[in-house]
Amino acid sequence: MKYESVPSVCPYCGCGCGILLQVLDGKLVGVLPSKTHPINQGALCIKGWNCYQFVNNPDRLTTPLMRKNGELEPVTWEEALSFVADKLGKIKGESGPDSLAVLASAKCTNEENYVIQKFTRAVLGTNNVDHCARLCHASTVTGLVGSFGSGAMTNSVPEFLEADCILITGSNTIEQHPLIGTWLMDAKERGAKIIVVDPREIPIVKFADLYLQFKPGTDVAWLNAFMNIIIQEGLEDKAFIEERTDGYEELKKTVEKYTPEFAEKVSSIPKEQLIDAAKMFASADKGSIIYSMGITQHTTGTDNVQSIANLAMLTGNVGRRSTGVNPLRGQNNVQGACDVGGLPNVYPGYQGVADENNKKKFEEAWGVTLDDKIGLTIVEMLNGVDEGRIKGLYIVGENPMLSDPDINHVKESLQKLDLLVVQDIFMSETAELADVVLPAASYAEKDGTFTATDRRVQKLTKAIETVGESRADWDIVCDVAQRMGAEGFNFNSSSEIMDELASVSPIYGGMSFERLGSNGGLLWPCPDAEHSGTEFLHSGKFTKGKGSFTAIDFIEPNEMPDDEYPFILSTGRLMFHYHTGTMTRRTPVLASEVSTGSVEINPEDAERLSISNGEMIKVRSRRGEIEIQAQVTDKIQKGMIFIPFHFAECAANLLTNPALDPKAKIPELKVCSAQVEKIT
Amino acid sequence: MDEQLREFVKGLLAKGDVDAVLGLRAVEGCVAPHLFTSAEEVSSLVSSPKYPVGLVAPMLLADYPEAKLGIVVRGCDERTFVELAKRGQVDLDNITLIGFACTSEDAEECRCEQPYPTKIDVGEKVEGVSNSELARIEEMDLEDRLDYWAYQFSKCMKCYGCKNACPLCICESCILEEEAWVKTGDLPPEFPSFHLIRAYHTADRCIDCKECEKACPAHIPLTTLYGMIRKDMEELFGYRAGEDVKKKPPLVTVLEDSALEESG
Repeated sequence: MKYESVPSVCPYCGCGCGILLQVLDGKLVGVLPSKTHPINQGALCIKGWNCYQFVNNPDRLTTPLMRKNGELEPVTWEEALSFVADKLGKIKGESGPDSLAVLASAKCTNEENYVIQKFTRAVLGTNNVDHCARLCHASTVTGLVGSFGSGAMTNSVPEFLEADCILITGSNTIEQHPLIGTWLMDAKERGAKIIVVDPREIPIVKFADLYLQFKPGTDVAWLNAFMNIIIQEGLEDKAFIEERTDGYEELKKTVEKYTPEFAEKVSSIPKEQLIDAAKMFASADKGSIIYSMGITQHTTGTDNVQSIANLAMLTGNVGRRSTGVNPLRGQNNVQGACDVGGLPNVYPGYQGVADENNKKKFEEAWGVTLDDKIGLTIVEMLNGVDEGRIKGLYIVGENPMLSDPDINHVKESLQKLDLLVVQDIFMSETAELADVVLPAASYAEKDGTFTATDRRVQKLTKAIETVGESRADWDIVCDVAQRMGAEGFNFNSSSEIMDELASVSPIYGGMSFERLGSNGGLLWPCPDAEHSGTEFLHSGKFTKGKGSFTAIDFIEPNEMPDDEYPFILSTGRLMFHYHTGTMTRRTPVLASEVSTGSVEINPEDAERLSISNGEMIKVRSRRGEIEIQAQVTDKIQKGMIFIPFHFAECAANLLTNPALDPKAKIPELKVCSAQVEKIT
Repeated sequence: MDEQLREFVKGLLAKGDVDAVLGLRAVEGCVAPHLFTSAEEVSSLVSSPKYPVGLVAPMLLADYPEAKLGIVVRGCDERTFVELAKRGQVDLDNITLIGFACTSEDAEECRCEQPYPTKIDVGEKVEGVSNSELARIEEMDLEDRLDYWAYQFSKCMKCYGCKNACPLCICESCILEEEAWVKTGDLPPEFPSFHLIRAYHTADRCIDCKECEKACPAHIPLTTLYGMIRKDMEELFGYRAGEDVKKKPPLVTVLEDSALEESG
């Protein structure tokens, strides 16, 4: 009789809630929320409470599979891994290192992502490594690095409680980051003013003092108008601007054009509301801004992010407790996957690959010669595959066949590969196309660390033995690396990998498994073993020295409604499901709450088209069409429709536009034009 | 106090009175329920913050019905086991309850009327605290009261944490999850059906352990609502859940023979 609670971290969103895996005689039987944890304090959302259920689902991949005569058949690890190693080596030899690419994973641990990017750079010899952060917060990283010098959430979650005013835009906080949502409700009850600016009347709107509904894709216009009003009213923080920033005069000149009248015309927010909200935010002593994919997933994603940074600096709301620019990260370890170098342009700790000193540093650390050419991003990789430049793709725990824009194109591309390796816990839509499928261990079956949205690095502890023959992702990748003759991959544990990561990445420099503990971890930067971590960034001085204002003009989305496709289609997520549904759709409670997708449409539009609630209708775009249930609701504005991207049978990403932000290469998943039709 | 508790538990294990003790373990700053099987392990045993051990014990006893299980219980936990026993989930003769009295701070935090078990092995009895929130709400006029609850339940995120954390929510399938009673997929769930169904379902078993409220991410004062029903139960039936193991719950029908056949 053995029963214990193993402290771990929820595998869903970026809140980083502490969970206790309930283990009875080696079997995972449940989850309890950790009562001592600083973020969730004994509570969880519905996904968290049920996050143990998919672990033992019979659909788990339990043996390696290889395609033989067109079918995926079970093989031994020996056969699978020697094939992968040989084939990768062969492609590298024949077509060069840049004909290979790797997708790291925001679902894997920091240690695993460290190993994956090291394998890509040191063994395959290319910087072609990226992951789904490209699809969610790539523009946050490019935007905030440009404005502040660091691309992460500036403040920590518990600080929301003490804010005087919280501006939330493009973040459906209650549904997507439920436990952060509770901090906002508490802040409201404490007296904080809440302003929500969002195209849809999302649940957090109920708690807003002001709600501004706007036309999707017009973010820069209303943000510039906010700044125009603040400057007109003399509410800007002159001392902060003078002492801590550059570029103010140019910003001031640019935002002059964005009068409330002009912004009303573009964004459809009444000018009185713009004025009230701008004044409310600028008058607060501690103003905090929260945003998420509503800001980032646009061809102007970087512009949107930098406009938010402008607003925060203009009002002196950076570098102090309970203020800041707070992008909420959507995956349990998307922050960490970025931090440890799962990106084509940076080594671990955001050290640029194009910098000669960094290259030298990592060449010495890893004992190899490295390439200083920046690698390809996700959509560029898939285009490279399509054009025959990329011949081998190794995907760890990602499902581009559902998560990426324009899936028809993704499928055509993936089928052209000489080698597609997919490492996952379930047979995803992407794995079905693979030449080799490698079964990975779930979060409950391994040690490691995840970094939550507020830079909180937390340890998870192995609770149960691996399911079937599955192996931890780091262990599989190290095995492939060693089979390719590489040194520096003979790690015995995740803890050893963390030690190496800490030695090369100053922001993680003072971290070790021992120091991280099991109750809230440490917030980076934590440069040395005596450092207690950093609650909020840019105190006294920005990471880059002075903060940079960026003068930005409004640009329309890549695709605008027209006669043929008159609706604006936006995509997103639901409370009860998660990303491509591989985990949540295998969780009975969640699947019975919401069993399939639906398209939100305004009652006036529905009436005009004679569409009734619950009716199956057709939604078309220039990329494809789907059949989906109509959900008639006045929570969405006229002329706009919304589809969650979780459901393969009515996949939103068959419709979305792969047009990219030129700097961040993030696709415009929040706006494309579409048509809605009755099925006759 | 934790040291006394450890000594007491070690003593029980050493004497062989119990095979194992269910209590709380502190690991790397995190406190969580744990089954202690040796004296060495007991050095990491602590008493706070409290967890619903009544959720865990039935699971252990289902797999090991013969085990001699010791369980560290506060007053609320003891009352939980009384109600679980009435409902056939545990046999009080087969378990050893190790009574732990709450401190006055604990009692204050939980607004607990009876912060001690009937048999105290460790700690000293302190005075109970009455739920002042209950009195405040009873003084409101009905319209304000409705507004108050409408606001509180508008915060609900439908996590089912209230149900999941409740050691006395023991139904195999829960009607809160059934479309016929509460529309699925809605956020917040329908008001007031979701919350009133749960309140009535726990009417004769809620022993006011506050676990539902502590698990509520939105801090809805659930036990204030349930407290009103507990009061009704006392006034209408003279029944206080968790007190007398021999007293049958008034809303439960115990059949002498097999269950009734469902009629077509």
